Amino acid sequence: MMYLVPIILLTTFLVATVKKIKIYDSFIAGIKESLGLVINLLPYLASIFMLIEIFRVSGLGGKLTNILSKPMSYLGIPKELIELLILRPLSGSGSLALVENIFNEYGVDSYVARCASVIMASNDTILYVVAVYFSTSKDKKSGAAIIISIIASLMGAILTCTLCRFM
Amino acid sequence: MSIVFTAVLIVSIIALLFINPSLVMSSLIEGATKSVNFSVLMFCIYAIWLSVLNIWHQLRFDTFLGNKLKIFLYKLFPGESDICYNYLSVNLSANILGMGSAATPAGINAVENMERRKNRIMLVVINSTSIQLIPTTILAMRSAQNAQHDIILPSLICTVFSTFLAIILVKVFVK
Repeated sequence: MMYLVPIILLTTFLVATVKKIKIYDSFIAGIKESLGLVINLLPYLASIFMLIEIFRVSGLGGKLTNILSKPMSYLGIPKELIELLILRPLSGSGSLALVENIFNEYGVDSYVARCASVIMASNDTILYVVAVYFSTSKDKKSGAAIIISIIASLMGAILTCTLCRFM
Repeated sequence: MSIVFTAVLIVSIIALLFINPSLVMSSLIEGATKSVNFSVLMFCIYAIWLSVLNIWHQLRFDTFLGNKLKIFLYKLFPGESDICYNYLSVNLSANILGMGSAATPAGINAVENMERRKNRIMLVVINSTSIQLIPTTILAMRSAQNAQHDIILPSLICTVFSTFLAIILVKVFVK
């Protein structure tokens, strides 16, 4: 699977060349777009990083983790991932920040970091998606959607923690 | 998010007043510093992938995938209009390819044009359990740290599992 991304990129550029698509121009446009995206993202990142930092330093993060570590351990979820599981449905940028923290703290190839990567990759920001998609809908009853999404992603997380033991 | 943010912030500051008041400012600054470093990494990742997505879009890769998906759409979202199916195919194919910014407007339009509550919930649930095939952001974050382990396969399994589970739950429990 190591070759997957490079092969996808190579195929894309080769096909684009055959179809006479201007790759350089596409890159300039893509990079411009990403600049705008990151500038929009920075306020959210800065606020959530500040919050995570002060929550950690104050020792409250550790307390919350301790309270939840027992029920989570029955589900096979290590306590290092509890904060991520709470934040994942609430904030996409915030959970990316936590994943980066986990990489730095435990090492990117550690079991916890691999679980965090898969949890991050296989879920989305549930509350954001629900809020945005229902924002213009006639019927605003979104409770069922939230509950089902959260159950499905918690089950996904349990599967993740099992799979990452041997994958 | 605003309530959660304020509550956590206030409680943390109160706790720090008892531990070490000087940590209040230093931890906030530390957090902001980390966010800037992280934004730089994010810029690099997006600079690559948004360019690639741009090329995929010009190759009409998203439209092609959308047409292939239509067979499944009739089964997943029964009894909707043609306009709605078009929006749905754009939304789901863009999401599978990781084009979040293209997926969202189409998704909102699809929900607006939907007649059945069950279908609306189905769409939101499929989107919020993530259907992206290649987790580009996470992969790039990992390679920035020289990761040796590969997480594509477990991610794919877990994505498919949670989305399938969500679809079944909607089919069984939502009236």
